[in-house]
Amino acid sequence: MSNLVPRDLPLPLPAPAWLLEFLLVSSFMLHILFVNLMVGGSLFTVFYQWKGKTDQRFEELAYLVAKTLTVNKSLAVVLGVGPLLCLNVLYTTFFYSANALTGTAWLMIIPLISGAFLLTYLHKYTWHNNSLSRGSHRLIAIFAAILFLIIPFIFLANANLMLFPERWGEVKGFFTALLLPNVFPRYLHFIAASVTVTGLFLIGYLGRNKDPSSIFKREPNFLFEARRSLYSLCFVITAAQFIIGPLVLFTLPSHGISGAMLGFLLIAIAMAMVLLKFLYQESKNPTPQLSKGFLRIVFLFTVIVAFMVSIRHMYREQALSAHKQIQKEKTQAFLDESAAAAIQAKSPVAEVSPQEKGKNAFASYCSGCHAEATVKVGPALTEIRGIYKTDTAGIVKWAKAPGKKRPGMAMPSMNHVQEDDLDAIAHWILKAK
Amino acid sequence: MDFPIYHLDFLNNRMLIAVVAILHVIINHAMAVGGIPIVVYLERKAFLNKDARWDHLAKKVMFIFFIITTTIGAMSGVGIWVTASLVNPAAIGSLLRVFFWAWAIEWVVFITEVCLILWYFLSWKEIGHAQKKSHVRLGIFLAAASWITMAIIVSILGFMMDTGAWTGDGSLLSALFNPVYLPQLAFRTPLAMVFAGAMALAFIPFFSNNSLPEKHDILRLLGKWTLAWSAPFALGALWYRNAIPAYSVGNMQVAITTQAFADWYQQLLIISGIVCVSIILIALACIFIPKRVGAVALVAPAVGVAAMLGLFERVREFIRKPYAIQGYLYSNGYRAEDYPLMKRDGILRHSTFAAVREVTSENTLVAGEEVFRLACSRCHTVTGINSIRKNIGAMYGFSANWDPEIISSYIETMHNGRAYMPPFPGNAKERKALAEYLVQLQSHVQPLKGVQDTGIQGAVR
Repeated sequence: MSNLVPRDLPLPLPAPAWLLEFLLVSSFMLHILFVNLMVGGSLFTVFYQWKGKTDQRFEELAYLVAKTLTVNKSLAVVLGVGPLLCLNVLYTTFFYSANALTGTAWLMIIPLISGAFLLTYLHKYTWHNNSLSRGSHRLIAIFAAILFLIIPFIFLANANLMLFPERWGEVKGFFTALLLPNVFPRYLHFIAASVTVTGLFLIGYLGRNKDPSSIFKREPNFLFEARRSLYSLCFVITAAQFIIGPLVLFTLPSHGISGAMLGFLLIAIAMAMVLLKFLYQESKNPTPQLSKGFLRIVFLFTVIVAFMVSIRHMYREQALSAHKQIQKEKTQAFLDESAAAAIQAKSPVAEVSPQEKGKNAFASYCSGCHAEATVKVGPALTEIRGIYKTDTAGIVKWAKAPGKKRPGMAMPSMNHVQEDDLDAIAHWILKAK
Repeated sequence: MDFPIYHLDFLNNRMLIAVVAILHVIINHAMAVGGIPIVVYLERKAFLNKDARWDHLAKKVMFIFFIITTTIGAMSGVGIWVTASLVNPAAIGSLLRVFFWAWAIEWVVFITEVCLILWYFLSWKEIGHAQKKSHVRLGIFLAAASWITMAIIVSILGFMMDTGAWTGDGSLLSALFNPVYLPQLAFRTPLAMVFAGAMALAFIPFFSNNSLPEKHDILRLLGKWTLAWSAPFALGALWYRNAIPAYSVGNMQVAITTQAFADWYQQLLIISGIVCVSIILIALACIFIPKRVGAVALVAPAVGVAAMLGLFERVREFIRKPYAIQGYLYSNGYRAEDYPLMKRDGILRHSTFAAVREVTSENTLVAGEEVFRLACSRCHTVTGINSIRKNIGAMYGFSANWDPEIISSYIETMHNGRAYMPPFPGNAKERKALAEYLVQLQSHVQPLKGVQDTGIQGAVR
């Protein structure tokens, strides 16, 4: 188990670990909420536009949702920088090793996300373009949604793999990493959460439009229907999370589970049950307003998410604790050995004769390409003596700015070599005084 | 470096970073750091003259900048991080530990920039609207935020080339205010402005003229903008050139031409000069004879600046060799201060993920390949760009059999002959095994595979 943990970088953390962990968890929470809104928003746009085939009101609703994607996607990406920074610093070797192992797939997040974003813009900005058929227009959103459904697998495979160095030996590329526990349950949990988060967001957001021609000003019942359906959806998905959640828990490798983590989880589950009740009540409300009922749901949901993000972190710390301990010892042992070897390597510099100096310098700088009587890469010394005879200055001049007199590789400039070394070399070659 | 080794044998690992990074720099210089000021300049002109046509031009240019910067621009920035993490995690990991707070502040500025650009673009006010003046002001704040993000990151780039006082006192302030920082910033700021002017010029042939100002008026304005910023650019370039550390200047020639085209140094300098002069001439033509400037001349400056910028970034990265972080970490991922240990014990012994832990008579070729992967593959491939097989062939030819003794002794001294090469980090046995591996490449060519394909070989020991 210990074999595959590399030593750490020998530079101190830029801040105390607890501060970095707090920054990691809080910035990640902000990031993931906007990612939820981005993925969920994409799915809702497709869904509402599909319903819009038979009911024009849903088409307008879809446009409202599509417009939120512009903002939410950019915030999702920029907020990802913070947690990535903290992750790189706190879990440097674990994270980068996982990146290398999933290599090309990890790299693909760049073109895939860029592509999803461009499709999202295309979808929004051609909405009222009459030369594009409605079917083709809907297809753009479908492609974007498919990308948003695929991309989370790449992040999850990495986030999962970094926790289990003991399994790194089994991995050969992205797909084998994908199959390690517990990527798929996490994915289900994430997609379900994306729908819920976006649903709650839309309940609040819809009807904000002050424009008198807006669909909701014209048909307030449509607004209430939309909100009620969203509450029902959130209720059903949250109820499903009571199955998906345990699936995630029971497929997690157990060595990362601690008592504290389970304690937090129990509190979160209790709150989730209350949330479920609130959601049910609002879904039965014929005219859901944005009042106390909505606010307490949002508040409770936020607290639950905060707990979940913390639980996730506690699992990570516990899963890596043994590895981190081994890594700490390995790193210190290495640094001690390195320091000892450095002291050992220092030998006093003896006085050398000019001939010795020239000979040694030649060995360092020139012997790679020049030999006494044979051609290694450049001409042999016998030939060079024939050309220069006693002109040591000529050799130095050539070495600093070599021309090209013969076919084959050009001689690199020896400008970086000290003047006195060049001089000594030239004297040694020509055996001059 | 003690990480599983990701490797791309066809593209070359450096090229992976280069493609993503140069794309990012082109977008952020032309369309953000320089792009926002030019849009705000146009909007302000529209506002002051109450001229809706200039406002339409500003918004049209802004739309293109908005779409590209918030998709490919943003993602290529993350892409530099992702590619650097794959190619040299030792380097990027080290930089992050030193500059974490600088990057954290950069992050806060990024969030501000993203919020401002969304707000600025999505709430664009028409001429005559009560809030037009505050919209212009919003643009100015956005321009400032954009510049600040560049101001922070350039400090880190400068540090990689010249760590300055940091090697002595280890303080963040010394790292931030390294000797290359302010000169590079003085170079990039006007460069971004010039590039933005050239980029806007390149859009003009594609804009149909309804609701926009007269084409010759647009060309005159953009020509003046580009010319005006060229002067501070030249000064900044001079200051930057003088701040480059002495060890780097020696690498300039190979940096500019690559080894293959080493004979073309003079010609390339002349071509670069011609490109710069042409851009000035086209700017002048836009000012004095705008009606005579054709579509090709309008697009050429942007292409020229992009090409020069790409070449500059290559040179900047190359002349820093043999270091990734000057004086601290070599491009091969090994710390300078660990060399005595590595040269004594060998690098295999201290590599967690190597397939073998030492060279034996049975495993010479496998060990040689591992050594190549650990010590050389950050910059060299076997079959792709900067192929080691091609390089050795250029030195010794392909007709006679390569001699492992000669190659081994060359590896020992190559960092003296070619100043951009790091010293070989391993011990004598590893050097000889490496030479054996390289020699058999003459007749048996096999691309080198990275850990993303092979997994960690011989992992469970």
